[in-house]
Amino acid sequence: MKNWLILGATSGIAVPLARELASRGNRICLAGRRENSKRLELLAQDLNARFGVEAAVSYFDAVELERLEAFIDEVEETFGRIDGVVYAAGLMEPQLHLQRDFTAARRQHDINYMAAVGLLGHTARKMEARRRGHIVAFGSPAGDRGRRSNYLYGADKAALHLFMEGLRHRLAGKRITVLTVKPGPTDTPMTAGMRKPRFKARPEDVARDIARAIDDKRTVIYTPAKWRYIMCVIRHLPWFIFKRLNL
Amino acid sequence: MNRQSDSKRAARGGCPPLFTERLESWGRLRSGLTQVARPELSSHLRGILAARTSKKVLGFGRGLSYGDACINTGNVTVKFNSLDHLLTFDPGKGILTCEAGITLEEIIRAVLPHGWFLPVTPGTCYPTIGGCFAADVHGKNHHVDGSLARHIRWIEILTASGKFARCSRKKDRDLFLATAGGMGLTGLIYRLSLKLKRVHTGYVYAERIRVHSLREMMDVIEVGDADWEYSVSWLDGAAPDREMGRGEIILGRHAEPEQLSFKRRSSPFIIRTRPGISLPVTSPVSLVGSLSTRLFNSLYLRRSGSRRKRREIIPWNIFFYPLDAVREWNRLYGRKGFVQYQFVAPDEAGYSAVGLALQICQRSGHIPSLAVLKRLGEKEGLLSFPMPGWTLALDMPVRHGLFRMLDELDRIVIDHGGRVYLAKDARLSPGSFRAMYPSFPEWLEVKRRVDPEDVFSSDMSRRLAMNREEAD
Repeated sequence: MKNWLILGATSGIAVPLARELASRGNRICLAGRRENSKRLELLAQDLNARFGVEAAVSYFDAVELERLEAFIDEVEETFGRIDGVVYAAGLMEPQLHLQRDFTAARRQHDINYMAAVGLLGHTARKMEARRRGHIVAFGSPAGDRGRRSNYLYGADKAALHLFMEGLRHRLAGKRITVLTVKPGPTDTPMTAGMRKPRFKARPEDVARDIARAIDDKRTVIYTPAKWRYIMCVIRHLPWFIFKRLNL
Repeated sequence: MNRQSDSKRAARGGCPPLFTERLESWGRLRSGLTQVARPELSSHLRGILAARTSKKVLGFGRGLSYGDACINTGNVTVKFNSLDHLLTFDPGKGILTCEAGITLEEIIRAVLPHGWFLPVTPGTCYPTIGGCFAADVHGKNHHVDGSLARHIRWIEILTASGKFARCSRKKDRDLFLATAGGMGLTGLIYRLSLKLKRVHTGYVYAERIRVHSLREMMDVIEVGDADWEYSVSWLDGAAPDREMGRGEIILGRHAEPEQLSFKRRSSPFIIRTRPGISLPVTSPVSLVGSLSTRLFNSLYLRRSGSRRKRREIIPWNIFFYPLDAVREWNRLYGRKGFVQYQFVAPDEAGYSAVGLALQICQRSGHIPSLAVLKRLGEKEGLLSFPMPGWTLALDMPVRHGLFRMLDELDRIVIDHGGRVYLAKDARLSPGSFRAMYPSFPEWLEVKRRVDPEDVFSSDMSRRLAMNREEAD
């Protein structure tokens, strides 16, 4: 039994991931914004009814950067030592909107990247001292190559990917696993409005892949796995072709 | 979490944001552009109703009905993906309360380790419990345990009045019976309470019996049904006339621990299920044709060998959900999709109706790639499919002339006093529907009481003109 902290627990992939982790008998702390309290309470009830595990709820807001470290300390005090942490909060606003509105772009960057650095960095320090732990965060295939349709989100995710890579390097040999998950389009509220229905992966399948990757101590996974190959091709497309594509 | 959508949500007064998406059903022959809402709390359901303006509303589980029952073109579709919480589960009594969007697979995962199983399950574990209740699904045990509705203790449904109503067989019985099998047209089913079935292992003790004619098959099924909890039969739809009905009967019951091998007995409920392979792309043309069907069927029959009976102990997922092993197998049928034509005919007419249907398929060249025969019992809801008799399900790729042949099958089914399953239908005519469902006027009375403005509607209900008595 381990204690897992899920940050951004109401997000579309975090919900089934919390269930996967709970099904392995772990204690779960579901963290999200206070305005989502009803949903978080319901999720805690769900985890308890499904798997008979203890689930707690706590509140933080990713845009309040200066309070994030205190929040982690508080969770450790009330919930217990954090053995695993998932940063699942994320925001994907329409690219056009972000291009025109720097404030919105900056806020999205705070949520997608800066908050993760604060929360995971602080948790990592604690884990480093204890020499055990799991750290999980979400990159994205969108962060593999800048595309006109989605590069502000992609840049956030590329930054997070690099942060996780560095963290992994730093913590190598200290019995801490650092996993970057790059999910393809998944059927969650974040991708609502993307019209092709069968194109999207089921969040339950994505969550199962992630849980298995944690068990197997993987470093970077794409899920569904086909995205590794698709992005490999896209990354290596020569510029004279790439610039003509409407991606 | 999406902040922008939160502000939109607040602006609409509890209605989650709507996005335009194309949704399709399992048969992939019907799809439609629709406004999709993804509520996360019960209050959002109310918000959707309040904000719908003149649009029609339909609940949507996982889109696994075959025809157009889950499609609501040009209107509002309420996806239940996030309303999937298990609320309470009593491992002592086997009683469970959940939101309607939870899938059967997830219920099994939660309850099987405590020695409980679904009382009734269709042939796939991916649909939602709400969707299953709306179609009042049956399983391989219908002859013993009836359809799903029999095991539902109560439901909570948001009706057009904007209020949540709790109904059961005792309380507001009319609404309960109109909703069981009512294809989501009486309101948005939000919560259900379910009585589970006690099992002592996660395995099924199964017996397979090879038969060589339809008469023999039906006789063996009748004898088998008396002793066995589960019974289903596969028959070779490509067999020539003289061998019509050759196939295999599969009988089963939940295995007892002492039937398991020593190794399995120590953890009788733990079965590692794999996510399974999935077909990554849709083939441009159907890979299922008469040639591949003939080949597959004869290979399948050969596999079962010359022995008449075979017994085995198999894990629950293999016994109940063999097709779930390949995700999105519907893509095999190509862009045009496929139809599953499932009908039931009363006991005495069963042999004649099943025989005629198979002959017509043969003669018209629409060879069913899959043909499944089963005996059913009494129905539960007003529009429920079952009746005491024989049901035959035929999978066929959509090809030129198919619908004309199915119209002919409709006439045979009506002549024999039977009906077609709405959860699988995409093309029945309003007239045939009325001839097949004699309780329709009774259902319509309840529908008018709870939903006088016909707020809850689907492509299917509009096709079948389910908001009025007469067909035209």
